Amino acid sequence: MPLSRRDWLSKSFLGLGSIAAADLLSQNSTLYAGSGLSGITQHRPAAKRIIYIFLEGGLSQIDSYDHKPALDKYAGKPLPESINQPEFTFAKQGTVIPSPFGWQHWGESGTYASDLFPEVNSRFIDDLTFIHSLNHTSNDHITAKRVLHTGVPIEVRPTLGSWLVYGLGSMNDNLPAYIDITPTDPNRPTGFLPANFGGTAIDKPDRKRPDLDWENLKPQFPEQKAHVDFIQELNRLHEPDRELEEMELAFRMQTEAPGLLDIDNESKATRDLYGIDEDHTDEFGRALLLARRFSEAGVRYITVNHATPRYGNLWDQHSELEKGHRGNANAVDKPIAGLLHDLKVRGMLDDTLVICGSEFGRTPTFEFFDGITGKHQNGRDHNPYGFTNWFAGAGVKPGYHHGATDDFGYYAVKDKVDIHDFHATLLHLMGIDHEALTYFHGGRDFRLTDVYGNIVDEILS
Amino acid sequence: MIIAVLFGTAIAPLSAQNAEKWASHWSLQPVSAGEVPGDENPIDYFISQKLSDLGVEQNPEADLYTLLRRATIDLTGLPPTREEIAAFTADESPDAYEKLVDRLLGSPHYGERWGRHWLDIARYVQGAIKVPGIDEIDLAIPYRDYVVKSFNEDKPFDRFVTEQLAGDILAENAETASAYLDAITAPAFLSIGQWFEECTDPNKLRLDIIDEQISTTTRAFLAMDFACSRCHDHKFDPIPTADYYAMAGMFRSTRITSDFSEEWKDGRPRAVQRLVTTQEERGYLNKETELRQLASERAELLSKVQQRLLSEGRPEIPASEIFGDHIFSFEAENFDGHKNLKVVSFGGKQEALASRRQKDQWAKYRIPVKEPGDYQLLVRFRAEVPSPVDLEINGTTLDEQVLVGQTSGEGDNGFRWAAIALPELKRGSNYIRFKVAQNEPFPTLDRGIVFQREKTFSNSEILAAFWPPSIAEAETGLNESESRLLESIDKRTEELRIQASAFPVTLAVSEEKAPISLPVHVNGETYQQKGDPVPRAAPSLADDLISTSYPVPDGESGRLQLAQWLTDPNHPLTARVLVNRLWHWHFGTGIVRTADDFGIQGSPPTHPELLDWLAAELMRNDWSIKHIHRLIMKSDTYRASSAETPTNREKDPDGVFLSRYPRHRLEAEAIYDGMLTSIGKVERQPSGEPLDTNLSKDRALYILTSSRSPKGLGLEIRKMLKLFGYDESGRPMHDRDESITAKQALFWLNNPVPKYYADQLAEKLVAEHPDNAARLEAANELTLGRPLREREKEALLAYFSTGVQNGLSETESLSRVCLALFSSSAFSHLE
Repeated sequence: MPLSRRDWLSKSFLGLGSIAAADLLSQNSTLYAGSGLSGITQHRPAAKRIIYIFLEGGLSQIDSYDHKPALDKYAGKPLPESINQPEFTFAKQGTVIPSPFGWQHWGESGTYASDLFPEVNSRFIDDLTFIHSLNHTSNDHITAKRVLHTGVPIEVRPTLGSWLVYGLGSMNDNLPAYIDITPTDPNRPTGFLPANFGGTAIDKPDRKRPDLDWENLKPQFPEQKAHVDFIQELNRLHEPDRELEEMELAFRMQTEAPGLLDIDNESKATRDLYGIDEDHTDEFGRALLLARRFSEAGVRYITVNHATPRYGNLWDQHSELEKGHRGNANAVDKPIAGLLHDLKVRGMLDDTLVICGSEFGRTPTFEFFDGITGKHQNGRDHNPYGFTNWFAGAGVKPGYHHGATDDFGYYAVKDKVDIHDFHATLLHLMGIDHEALTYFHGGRDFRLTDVYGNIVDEILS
Repeated sequence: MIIAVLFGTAIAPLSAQNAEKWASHWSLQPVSAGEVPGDENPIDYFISQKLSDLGVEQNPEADLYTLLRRATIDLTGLPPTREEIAAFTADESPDAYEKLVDRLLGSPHYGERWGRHWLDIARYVQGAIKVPGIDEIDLAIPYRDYVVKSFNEDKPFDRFVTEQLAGDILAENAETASAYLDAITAPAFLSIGQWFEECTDPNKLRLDIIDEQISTTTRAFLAMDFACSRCHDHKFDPIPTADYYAMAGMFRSTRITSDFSEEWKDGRPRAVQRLVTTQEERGYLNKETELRQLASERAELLSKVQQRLLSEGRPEIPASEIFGDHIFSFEAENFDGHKNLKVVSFGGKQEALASRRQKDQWAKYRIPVKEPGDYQLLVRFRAEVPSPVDLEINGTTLDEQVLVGQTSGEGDNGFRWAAIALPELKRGSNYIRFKVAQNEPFPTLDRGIVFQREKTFSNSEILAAFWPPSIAEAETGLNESESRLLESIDKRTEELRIQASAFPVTLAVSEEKAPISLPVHVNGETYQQKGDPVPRAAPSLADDLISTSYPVPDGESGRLQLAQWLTDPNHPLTARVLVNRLWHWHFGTGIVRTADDFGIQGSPPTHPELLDWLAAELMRNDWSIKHIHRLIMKSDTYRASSAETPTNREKDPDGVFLSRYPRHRLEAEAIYDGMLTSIGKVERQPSGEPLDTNLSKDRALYILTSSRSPKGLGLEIRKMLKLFGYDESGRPMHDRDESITAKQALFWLNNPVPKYYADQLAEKLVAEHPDNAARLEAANELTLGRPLREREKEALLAYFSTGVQNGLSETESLSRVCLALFSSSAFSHLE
């Protein structure tokens, strides 16, 4: 009787998914006969890894990259009836408020964008690919983030990162394959996938606490080699013929990983590029520099959250839109431009896909003060019905804009891209057929894209 | 909608092809209680038959140490003590093992272990169901304790099912207080789901909650997930959409939330009830009535005082004397503080600051001071119940609480001024902070005024300054007899409050007043309904087998009928699903590998006759779970060694055919409890006695809600539980994740939790044993449950001695030996 796939995966998988299920498939096809994993990689992948820069709380699309002149025209007036509106909103809707930011053409493409991200826009706007028509229906942060990362709002499913590790494995046996920097949902589990495929959390880097602790990677005492050898000896004495590789792997990780966290050996030029040691940009600069170092070392999927880990929702400007968004953008603009530059000069942008965006966008109208949020009528509410993320690097068409929202930037109306489409496209870029990447659980084969998902061919280079 | 494109015609009759498959599907056949020849344990009979087909022999019995550790951890989640090891290995009576099994089944810790197994199915997560905003209070605790108690009492499983689905309906017929409390507690099964509270559309939320209830219920008792049928007929299993909505109507007619909150972002609180018998409830209600009476007496008294004061006129103190020297005043709503406070309106356009949820409540104000010195603070506040506040000034909390009393009077009339002496303020910015402990009421604050002044304001000064007095302020002008009267009212009120708050609270599930059935919702969409309501009814999948019908009366939800249907003796699934779970929890894998899926896509049973025999045996013995335990524990199959041989590895690679006891990793809780008990924590409670939960509070089962984590390790313990497969996301766990990962290895190497216990253990060993050999011997027994073998003895001593030679203290070197024992594979496995 052959091992069941789940048992095999959960009990025999060593380390952090260091061997891709797909690799084993080619070695022992009977083990996987009829399984969903056969043929998941049907084409040469454009991207080897993804860095997802996540601006938690909701970057306003209509104040960054989705310009809507109607906002000025309708300032102070309610939205016209012709604009689709949700049946329920968090708070009572106010009237339309115009974007408080300056707008201009950037780069050779002449992309019209606000001045929120001057560094990124002035240096890289022509490298970016935009999807302006992302949409889903989850109106609160938690379910919206789940939708964006897992495809479903409430139920606990594996994230895109877990699916990638499950399908592709790691490129470095001594490192986790999926890393979450400044985790905002520490409870984000692997859903039905075994724990091996989960992300490894790294707390927000902080120059005041440069000594990053990373899930038990810091040795408690110096004599680690002897200690590991002793544990292994106990295991062997107890059961002579059982191989126990986890302990060895852990030891190798403990040896290799902390070095990656130490950014002191990066040159001053590189640190400056990311805005490290500058007041506003230090924190996120460190996070993105770590992301680059992990990418280089072979990590598949890295999320870098711009968030305050305790309260989350940094970009959630229900009030003080201008002040809040400006402050947030100032903290990330230079580091992001630095990352793009750094990846470019190292030739890594060719096989790295960088994504930037939020779980949703914001409404064209302000939100009435309900005693808790939005003390002033200068903030926007959540809007999952039409928002923008941008992409740069491997496999995407530079300077291209896909999809559009209505005249007020409220609902996606043209070339709509839902989250399953978004996921299908990302899996495709990583060389995976989203219909073939399945996991059998609770009586059926699950997919990241459920029974949906169309690849957005237009954005592919 | 995209769904509509794909499943636009989803509501179609079940396909004939599928119907044929189900008709012959194993799990929907009648349970056949086959005859077993001879006096062999029937379990061994069925297992050995299969093994001889495979051509492999079952291992002989495991050695006594292994057997004792296996049985003890399996049944109680705790390793055997050194005394238990000594006693069992010395007992040469032929029924020593049988006595062991009986002792363990009678242990109050049995319920803690096996109750936790059931809590996995019921998706109970420690500390997840909170009173909004209060982390430590877990409303699901009574349900957890109910489950533990039910297992300890060997409550018949049909009763257990019925209580969880419909206990509230049966409660009034309960014969004893204990049965009544069980009945009102058990249906929390339906209410502890972590449905998402922060939802914008209450109608959608309601359907999502129902979906969660249906999915949990059907997976728990039927090992089929009806949730697939919310949008379309189940693709593989005999679950038409109509069956889904027939059950959805039952839960739609069941109330688990209190009224929908106006504060949408707080979600809809779960309904709660006092966990008391009807008699105690009556007493409580009497107290409530008396409390209300006292409140109105108090208001009446003060209202009279107010009138008297007004008629007597304002005291002869010029207001300018007081207001003349105030340096600063602030409106309470201009606070720097927590989102848990909110601004409320009163008396027209006036605003004040009030509590929004009872967690992290504080409000901070900056007081600019030109001259250092003594200051007085006057604060205007209202408090319907006494709400003592801690006042922090520049980071130091005053010894005495302020604003301690309650106030009477409605709205504006309920505010009064209170005077507070501040310690010396410094030049520049001073910060004062009003804060109350979690779960304590926060008074409503209106404004504050700061005066430079040495002596505290007298009552008559306050009265004069803020003339005319409100009802609440009348308290500052009491004469002696009024004062005595008020004192006696307040004293009685306080007594009653303490008595009334002593009752524990549990989640409340009840019948809706007007039960309704739901129509099919097209593609599960909230606002797209189709056709007439589907009458509330049990599912149709066993219609051929169950001849009794359980029609749902108009005035009832139908939960009771659902439970009756599930526990019908001809039901093909309920008993099979349970005995399979018991097998799964004993051996690590079920007879049906997919414990939560007995459908077409699930695994077929490896031993179908055995499964049926056990199911029939369960029902024949009044659904006694302990009866099944006894059968399993006493079989040769359970007692076999876990040794792998070339033959059994080849013929039975996973061990699912039980050629050996399948070695498997322990659950997170058992691993934690293993470390915990090695240092002597958790006294073993005697077999046959009821559980005293208080003595067990350090166990992993309770640790996250008992605030008893050692040395601030709470967060690390929480992470540890997750690292070893405990899932706190709130979905049912039908099969714990038993992955063995490098992250776990890193945990053993570097996490403070195992090192903390290793240190404690080392200190204990040094204190209790005179020499190192004895210490190492004890360490091994306390962690692995057996004496050291010769070569192990050498290895432990060598590692220990090297440490000491390299300059470690004996205790530290011993601690590292203990840490290595915790880290060894044998410690976290059942063999």
